Amino acid sequence: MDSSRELILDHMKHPRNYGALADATHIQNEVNPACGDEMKVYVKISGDVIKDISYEGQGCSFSMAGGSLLTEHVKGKRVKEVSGMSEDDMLALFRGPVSPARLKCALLAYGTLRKILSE
Amino acid sequence: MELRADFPIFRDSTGEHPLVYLDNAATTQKPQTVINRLTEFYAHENANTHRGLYPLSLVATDAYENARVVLQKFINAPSADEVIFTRGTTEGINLFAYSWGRTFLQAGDEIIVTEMEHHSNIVPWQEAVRATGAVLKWVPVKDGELDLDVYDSLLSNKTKLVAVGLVSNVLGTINSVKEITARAKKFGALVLADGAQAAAHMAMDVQDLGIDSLAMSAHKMYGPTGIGALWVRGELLDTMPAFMTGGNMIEDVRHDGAVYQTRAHKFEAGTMPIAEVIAMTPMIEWIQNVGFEKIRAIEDEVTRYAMEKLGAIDGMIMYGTKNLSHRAPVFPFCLSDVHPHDVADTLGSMNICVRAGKHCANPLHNALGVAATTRASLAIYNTTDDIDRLVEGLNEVKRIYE
Ligand SMILES: Cc1ncc(COP(=O)(O)O)c(C=O)c1O
Repeated sequence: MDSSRELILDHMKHPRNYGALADATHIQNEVNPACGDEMKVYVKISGDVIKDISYEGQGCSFSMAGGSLLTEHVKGKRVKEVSGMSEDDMLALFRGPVSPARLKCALLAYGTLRKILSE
Repeated sequence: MELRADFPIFRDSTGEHPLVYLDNAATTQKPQTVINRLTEFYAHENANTHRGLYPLSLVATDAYENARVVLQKFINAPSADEVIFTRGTTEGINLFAYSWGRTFLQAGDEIIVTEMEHHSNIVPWQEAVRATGAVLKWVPVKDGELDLDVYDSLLSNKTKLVAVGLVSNVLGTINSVKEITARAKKFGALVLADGAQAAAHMAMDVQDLGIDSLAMSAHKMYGPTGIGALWVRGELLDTMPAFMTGGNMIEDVRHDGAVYQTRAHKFEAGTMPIAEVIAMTPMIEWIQNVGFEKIRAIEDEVTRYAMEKLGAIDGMIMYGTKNLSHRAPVFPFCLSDVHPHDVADTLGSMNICVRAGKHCANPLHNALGVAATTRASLAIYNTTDDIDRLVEGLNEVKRIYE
């Protein structure tokens, strides 16, 4: 198995930052109607920093690993920096090619976080 | 299997992971005769139909009109001019819903659809009722089959149309459309049957079924994409206004209006996919050479094998009726709590083609209470070897994800 696949399986089976965040300042729900994947992102923003972030959801390896990879990547970063993150930046976190069929899944957590940050 | 040799895609697929194609409900593979007909037409016979007076155009027109007769006989329609070529099932149902629906439906009228319909036999009716004030009623699914008791309770003098699939693209259920039609007729309702998933597996006799309209897609019955047909009972067709207008479908155009052609030709506006229409002739010849009796026997054998082997996998949840006489070879399933996308992805990496998701049947998945399923669907060329490879693949999925 290639390393990207191993990374995804690792983040799917051992998700980082999974679960509700009691003192979240922002919460956002998203669903991918095509496959029924559900994503809920909790963020605690303090000043201009993402102090804490977590996610909960249901879905395939790409959407769930996406939540884990994204939250790990942005935790502690400045809002401005994370707001500048592109779709390609998100996909790069998977460290391997994401097939077109899995793009929506891979970007589900990212899209959910963007909704919060664009408010 | 000698039939399989007719399909070049399998001949050309060798090596470590030869193609296991189990997405036939999405589209079937094409036999060499159909592929040859398309290239022959473009290489040697290409001309537009109905317009030219030169031999090439006349030959093309003949072949085009001949395909209509072949199709008429295939579905036992009373007359060839009732067979309209469309882009496929979706366009056929839309044609009916726009032309008949917008003309004859009134506020308070009712259309009955079923929870197991493909979106293309739901959304056009949602649009038609939105435009007219009519109401949509739903027949629920119970144990993989339509609940005909509820159907009976929905029927009334308000029912103007029943839209039902002959075979479900998710559950594989063969619906008793003849019985459904007989009951609808007691209330004077029309019946439109979606034949997309039935056409490759069983004979469809529109007169025996008693229906008023039948939609189908060539690409799901070993034929080309981009073409299909809508049959509408002649007297009904005569009452329906044109759907699309323009060239070909007119008799005459003046400054102040136009006179249209009649019957099927009125509904074929613009240049049609001529090569694809013509290639439907060898498509139907191929099916008829095998014969539905043999098709059913072969598919039944693989179906039995698949149900047994898949059912024996630990963590397998299979949907649909267990009554195999009511079932076409379509198997939706969930494997433990592995997401169907991951199942299909892993199988895909082994060159085993299945589909994952809701298969254009969201209302059915809502009724089943699952977000998505994985679907394996068979055609005549699938073998028990294909099922063995599928089972191997599913064991690999379990090894990775469990
Ligand atoms: C039952 C059923 N109806 C309609 C359709 C739509 O057919 P097409 O996409 O060829 O128009 C499909 C295709 O998946 C189907 O399975």
